[in-house]
Amino acid sequence: MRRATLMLGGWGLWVGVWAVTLWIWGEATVPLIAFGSAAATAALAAGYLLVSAPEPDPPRTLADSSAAPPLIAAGIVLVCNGLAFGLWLVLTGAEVAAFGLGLLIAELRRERAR
Amino acid sequence: MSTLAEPAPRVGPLEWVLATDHKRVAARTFALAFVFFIASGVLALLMRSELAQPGLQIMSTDTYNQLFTMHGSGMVYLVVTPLAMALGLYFVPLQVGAADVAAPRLASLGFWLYAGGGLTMYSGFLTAGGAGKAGWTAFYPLSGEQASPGTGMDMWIVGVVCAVAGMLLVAAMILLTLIRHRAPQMSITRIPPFCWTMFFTCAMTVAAFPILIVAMGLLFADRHLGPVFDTPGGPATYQHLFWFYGHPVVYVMFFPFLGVVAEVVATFSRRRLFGYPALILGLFAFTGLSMTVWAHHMFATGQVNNQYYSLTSTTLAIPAGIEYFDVIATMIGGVILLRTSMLFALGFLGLFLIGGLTGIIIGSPPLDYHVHDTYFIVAHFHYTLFGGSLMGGFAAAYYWLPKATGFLLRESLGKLNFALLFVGVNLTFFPMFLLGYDGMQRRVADYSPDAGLTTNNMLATIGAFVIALGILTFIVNVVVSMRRREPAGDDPWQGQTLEWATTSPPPRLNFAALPPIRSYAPLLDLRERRGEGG
Repeated sequence: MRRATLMLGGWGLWVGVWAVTLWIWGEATVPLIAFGSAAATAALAAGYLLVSAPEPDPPRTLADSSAAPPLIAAGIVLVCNGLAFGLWLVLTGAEVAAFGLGLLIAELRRERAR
Repeated sequence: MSTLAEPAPRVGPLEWVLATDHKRVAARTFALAFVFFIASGVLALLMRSELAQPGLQIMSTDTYNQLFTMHGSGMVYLVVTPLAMALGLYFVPLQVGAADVAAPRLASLGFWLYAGGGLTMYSGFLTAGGAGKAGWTAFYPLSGEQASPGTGMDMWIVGVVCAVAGMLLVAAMILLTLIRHRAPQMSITRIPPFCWTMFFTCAMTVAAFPILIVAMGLLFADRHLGPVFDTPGGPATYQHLFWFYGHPVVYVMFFPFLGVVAEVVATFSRRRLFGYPALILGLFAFTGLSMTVWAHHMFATGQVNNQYYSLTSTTLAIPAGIEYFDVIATMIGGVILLRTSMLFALGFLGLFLIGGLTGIIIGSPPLDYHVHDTYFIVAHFHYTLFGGSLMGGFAAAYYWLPKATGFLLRESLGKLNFALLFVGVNLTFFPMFLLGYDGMQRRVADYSPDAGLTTNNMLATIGAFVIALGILTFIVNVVVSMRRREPAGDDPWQGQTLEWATTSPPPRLNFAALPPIRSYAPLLDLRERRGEGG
């Protein structure tokens, strides 16, 4: 865990150093923001690893199959398409996604009860 | 006569579609990416047929615009990136001794979002105005409502968002698997080279892909809600946002295949990979630098700091050189076996080198001004993406398909596959360097018969059909090999990493037991301890 933190943190620092170089060189704002965000994302990920539990995860329950992901994805894709085709498709997509989420919750509760 | 491999237990279509096992999600991704590969390839053949001779022969310029847009965006968003992620999704858990990927349902959701996105992008062809037609970059104002009206362009934007978000989810799950789900003895400094390439690939994906989603969201808002980029400096801002994704994605499409090639070369040279720590440090530097070079795509806009981006772009040659040196040094003194996957790995090294070296040329602003937006650029990135990534992809297919399916592919057909692709790639893309240098613009459906461009265009078109023949040979090979089912066994190549310690195909939770892990190559360690050598 520590080494992974070092890798991610070091990577963020490396991107950050280049961002500072760019800033010294006097580049416009947009690239600096994009750059800084990438460095910050890496630093945040490293920070998360540092504070998260160092012990191995508890044994996982692995489901063999699940109908929730395709339903949720279909819902999201329909909602996105609805932005081009109209509110009716947004609402249909939202219903499908909500149904998928409900299914996911039911699946997770069933697994936890086992 | 060879014996038959045990066929895998039959799985119903519904079970296959709903499976969350990382291997099945990855297999679905492979299959769909291959379908999109064929579709985008057919579009390329149509375009090359149009360009074989001057004049408009088989399509209008508007149709041509749709075709090059869907070819380019199909290959980047729906083929090479998903293929790279599918490789990681299948083999990272196996190589680090994990039972499955982190959060398998989220990985599955990633696949379905990608599938929905791809379908949406291609469905644009069914709309009245046709599919997206602003190129794979969708530069503003060309992609704005005025220049590209119609639902097809909207569907393209929405499709890209869904496909990219899907791959972002998959990448995040692979990264989490590498960080949190390694086998107890598999410290991060013992993960195999392929896993390292996936580590950096996924880190880059997590940092860069959200920016594209934001850019596409803003573009959609610009088209429907009012000006976002239609301001002074707006188009340049769009380009910054796009290329902040667009350049790292080149490495997302390269690193995993570099990892595959490193493993294939080590296995078929019967040697441990030379300079493992240098390879990782090289990747580390490569990844950081690759996020600093995006605006070299904007040299000609006159709105970026050319010296800075030229410096960072040229500096990329250093880590690239380290990777190349490591892989080549691995072969020195080794017992080199020229199996099909090794041939593809060597092809990758040769062709990507041409792509990389021409990258140094266009990393220099004065030279870039001359060839900007010409076929020179098209040749450059096809040498990196087709010559590089897809050669690496085929190396992976011949190396790892026996593990995934339990049967070997035919070597003779494999070598024919390699020969056709190698000849086809060079015949198609090398003339494009000459065309670009002579001033042929990219994204044009026609050119003057007096411009002296006809011969090279004809050669490129013939080459494209040779590539198609090569791909057809691969499909025939898979079909023939599936029917003959020559058993692969657990470790047909004397592999070095953990995936070869389990059955072919691997069981649901991957391993019954793990061998001791003392380096990135536990199976090679075992053989060396038993005195069997490399």
